[in-house]
Amino acid sequence: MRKARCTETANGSAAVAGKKKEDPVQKAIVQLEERVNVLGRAVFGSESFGKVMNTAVSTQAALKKGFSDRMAKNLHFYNMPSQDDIVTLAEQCARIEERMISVETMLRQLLAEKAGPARTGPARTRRPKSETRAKKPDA
Amino acid sequence: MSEARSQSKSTGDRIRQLVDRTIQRNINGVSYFVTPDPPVGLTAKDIIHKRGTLQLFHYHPMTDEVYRTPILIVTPTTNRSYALDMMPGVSLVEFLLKSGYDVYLMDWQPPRPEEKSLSLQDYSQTFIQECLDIVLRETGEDEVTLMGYCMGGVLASIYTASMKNRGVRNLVCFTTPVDFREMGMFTRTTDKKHFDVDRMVDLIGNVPPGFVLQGFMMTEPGSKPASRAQLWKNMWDTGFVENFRKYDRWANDMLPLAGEYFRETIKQLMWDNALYTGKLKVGGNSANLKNITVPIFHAQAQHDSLVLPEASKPLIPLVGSEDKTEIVLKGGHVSLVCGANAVGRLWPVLDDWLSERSA
Repeated sequence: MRKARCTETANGSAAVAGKKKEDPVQKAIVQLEERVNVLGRAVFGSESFGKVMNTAVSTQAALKKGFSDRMAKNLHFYNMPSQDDIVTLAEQCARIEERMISVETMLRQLLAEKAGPARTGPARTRRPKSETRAKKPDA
Repeated sequence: MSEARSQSKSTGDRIRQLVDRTIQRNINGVSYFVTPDPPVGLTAKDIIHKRGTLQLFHYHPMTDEVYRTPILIVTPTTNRSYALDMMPGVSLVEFLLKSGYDVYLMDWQPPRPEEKSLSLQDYSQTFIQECLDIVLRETGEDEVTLMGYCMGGVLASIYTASMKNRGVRNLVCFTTPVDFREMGMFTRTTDKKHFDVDRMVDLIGNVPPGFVLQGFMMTEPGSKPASRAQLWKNMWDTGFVENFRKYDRWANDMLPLAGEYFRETIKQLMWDNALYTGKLKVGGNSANLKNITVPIFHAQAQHDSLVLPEASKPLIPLVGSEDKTEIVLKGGHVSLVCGANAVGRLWPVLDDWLSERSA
């Protein structure tokens, strides 16, 4: 059976690879990754980059908002619901869902009070490992 | 003579290996692009509760006898929960089930547009409380072990602190940030001086997953190209390709964040560092970590580039518990909970710790 190794990447991804000796290609990849990381951190961590990035994000968000407002006007003209209308409807559905959950919870509580706790599945009697280990020599 | 033969044999072997690998690389390469991602999160479970963005899973027990105290796992709000159930043999959930625990998990679905108003209180109190009550009712027990990974650990800690340990017997956290000034790249990119969180949330509502992913990728920009190079290098290895696809799928499968929750996280946790200073108030209750008095276990990763060890280290000193355990393991943010590092290092220690506190 092959032993597994977890090679983690920065964005949180990881891959499992077979255990083997480091080869030159592997070494080059690792070195390249480290250099790019150092360079990237220096650039992304700077205040000027932060400003530029946040301006870009704000602009993008404003454009998106402007576009959806325009779209909403067009949809209104054609007598069709806009995304905001759908969201409002969905919010109402969510409120109904919440009410139903609270009714369901109350019903469950009432039923539980009548029938007692429903305990199905395996017995909840497992003992700590230390106890089991201590008992083993006697057995 | 025999040396020369063995040398030529080894050259022959090498050529054969090269040809084999080239053929396999082509087969796997084509399959990489034309087949869907391999399935993940396959451990048998039931969805026992659903409410908008929240789903509560109950995994089918795998032993005849389980520990009395059930485990309720709170997963990070930025990622899919299958990181903890990636594949058989590399699944924390499966390991816990096989070790005799009764496991429940809070899974997050993308918040819908109308859920943009979900707040930190909803995530850290309402949802956890709701799931905890269901678990207690289902099992007939009084307490659970609350377990949280990354931001899930933050939510579990806030719940335990602000609800004064109600219904919690043990608290288990994996790589949980507390000092948000030490979050490295995240601290710098969300700096109050130039990051207008109000404008952003007011304009777009829920924060798109691309924005969150971008933030993660900026912490180690070299990793994406390096992981692609690794994939190309190991394309001949079917096992590597399959595992790579599972982890890569998870890493890119980010969730949008509810707008209000994002705003509060940035303002209260990042800017005011209120969890660290003890000034955080959620739903009118103080979420001072000193309020946590139950046994606590915290595992940190030595080479964590997302939650830097400096950010997660203060958790144990700040809690009020007497029974507290901290372990620092080699590896990164993900390999701490899944992968060989987790299987060999974290899980056995965790099982020993939990076993003594779950009967």
